[in-house]
Amino acid sequence: MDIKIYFLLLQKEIRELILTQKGIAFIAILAFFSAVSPISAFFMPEIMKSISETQNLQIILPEPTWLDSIQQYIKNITQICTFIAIIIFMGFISKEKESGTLVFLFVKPVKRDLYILSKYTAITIFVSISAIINTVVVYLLTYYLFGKINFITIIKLNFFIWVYLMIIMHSVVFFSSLFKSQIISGVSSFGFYLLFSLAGGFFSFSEYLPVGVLDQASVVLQNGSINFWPVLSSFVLIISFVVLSIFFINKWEAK
Amino acid sequence: MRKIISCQNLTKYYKGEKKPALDNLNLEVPENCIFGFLGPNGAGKTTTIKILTGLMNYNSGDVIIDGEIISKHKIEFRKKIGYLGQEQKMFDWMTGLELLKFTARIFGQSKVEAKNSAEKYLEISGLSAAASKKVKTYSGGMKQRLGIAQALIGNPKILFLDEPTSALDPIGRKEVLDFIYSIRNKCTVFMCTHILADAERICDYVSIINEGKLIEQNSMSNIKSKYSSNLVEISFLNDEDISKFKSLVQNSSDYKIIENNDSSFKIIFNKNVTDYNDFLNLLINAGIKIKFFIEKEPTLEDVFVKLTTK
Repeated sequence: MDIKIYFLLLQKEIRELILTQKGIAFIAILAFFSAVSPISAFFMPEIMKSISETQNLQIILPEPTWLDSIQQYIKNITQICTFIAIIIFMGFISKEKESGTLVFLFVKPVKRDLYILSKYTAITIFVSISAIINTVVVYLLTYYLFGKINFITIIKLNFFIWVYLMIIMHSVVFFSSLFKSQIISGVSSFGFYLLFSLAGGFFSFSEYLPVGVLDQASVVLQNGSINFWPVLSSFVLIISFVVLSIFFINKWEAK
Repeated sequence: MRKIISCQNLTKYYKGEKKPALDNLNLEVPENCIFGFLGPNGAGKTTTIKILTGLMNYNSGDVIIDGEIISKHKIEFRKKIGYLGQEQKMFDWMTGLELLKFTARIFGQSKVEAKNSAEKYLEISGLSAAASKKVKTYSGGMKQRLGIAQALIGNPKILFLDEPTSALDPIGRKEVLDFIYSIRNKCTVFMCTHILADAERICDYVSIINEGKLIEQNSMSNIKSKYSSNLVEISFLNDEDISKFKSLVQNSSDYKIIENNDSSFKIIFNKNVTDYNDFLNLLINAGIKIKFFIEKEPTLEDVFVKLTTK
C-alpha cells in the first residue's frame, strides 16, 4: 500500500513539474548553457578581436581548446544555472504550504514521509535527466568544434557536477520543507549555495567534505587521482536533508 | 443517537497568545446529520475543524472521532474523514476527472475503480460536462462542488466543511447548499459557517461558539423553541375588528402589543403563558374576525445575536 501511494505521489510530482513547465524549464536552461559553453569558448577569440578593433585595442587570446569549453561549461552550470534552478524550485514544498494544497494531501491517508520522499525522488529524476542531456550536449558540441575528446572523461566530470547539483537542489527542497514562505526558502537556499561555494577555503579537511566535490571535476580534467570522499560525504549530506525534511514535515501544522 | 464526534474540555493556545483560541470546548455531534458549527469571525471555528481533522495539535482535552482518539499520523483515522477547507486550493493543473481519480487512488482504489468513482462523483456534483477541463478554469461554485466531491470520494464517515459557501455568489451558494443537502444521511456533515441563513436552511443540529467557548448546542428545532419569545402575529379583516381588538387587549398583563402595522399586530406574551387558547377565545367571544394568527419562531440569526452579543 505504502509503495503504491509513493509511486502515485511521485507520478503526480513528475506530471506537475512537466505540466507547470518548471521541470522542463530546469532541463532546458541547463541544456541551453551546456550548448552555449562550447560555442562561446570557440568564438571567444573572434568576439574579443571584433570588440578590440572597435576600441582600437589589440587583445590576443590563445587558440581555445576543449578544456576552455569544459571549464566554461562547469562555470555556467555551477553559477548562473544553479541560481536559476534555486528560483525555479524554491517553492517546491513551501508553495504547497502557502496555497493549501499540502492540507489537501495531509487530510487524506497519505504518510507525510512518503510525500517528502516523492519530492526528493522527483528532484533527483530531473537533476539526473538534466545531467545526462548536459553530458551529451557538451560532449557533442565540444567534439564538433574542438575535435576528438574522451567521452569517459566527460562522463566522469559530469558525475561530479551531478553530485554538486544534487546537493544544491536537495538543499532547496530541504529549505522549502522548512519554511512556509517561498521567499524565505529561496533566500536560505541561496545563502547555503554561497556558503557552499565559499566554504572550500575555510577548512583544511575540505577534501573530505561535500564542498570538495567540484575540485574532483577539475582533477578529472587534469587526469589526476580521484578522491571519492567528497562524494561519500555529499551523499551523507543529501540523506541528512531528506531525514530532516521528514522530521520537520511531521511536526508541521496547518495554521 | 450515537455521537460520532466528541470533544471534552478541548483547549488550544496559539504560540505567544495568552488567551486560548479554544477554552474547554465540549462538543457532541450525532451521527448522520448535518451539523452546523456557528460562530462569529475569530470564534475558533477553523481552529476546531483543523484539530478535528488532525491538521493541528491541541494543548489539552480529549477528542474522540468514531470511537478513536485522533492523531495526525493515523492513516486509518484519515480514511474516515473528508475535508474541504475555507477557499481550499486543489491541484489546479489537473482536470476535474484527474483530480478525483488521483484522490480515489490515494484511498486505495484500483485504476478502474478510481475512474468509475471519479465519474460517479463528477455526475453527483453536476460537473460531468467539465470533467476534462483544468480545475483552474472552474468557477467558484464549481470548485467548491469539486472540493466536496473529492472530500466524499473515499466514502468518509464524516465530511468536514469549513465555510463552504462564504466565497460564493448567490447562485454558487445555492448550488453548493443543494449539493450538501443531497448527501445528508450518507455521512455526517460537520459544517463551519458564519452565514446563518445557510445553517438554518440545511442543518439538523447546531452548535454556537464565541471566543473559543461553547455557548449553545442543540437540534435546530429545540434551539428555536428554547429561544422562542412567545411572539405572535395577528391580522384582522376590517377596521371595526381592529378597534375592538385594541380596546380588548389594552390592559392585559399577559401580553403586550409591540408592533402595529396597518391591520396586523405583533404581540409578545409573557413566559408563563403556555398556550393561546384563552386569548383566542376572548377574541372569538367578542365577535372579532381573525384574518391570520401565526406564532413567530425566532430565526437562527435572532438566537445567534442574542447569544453572541454581550
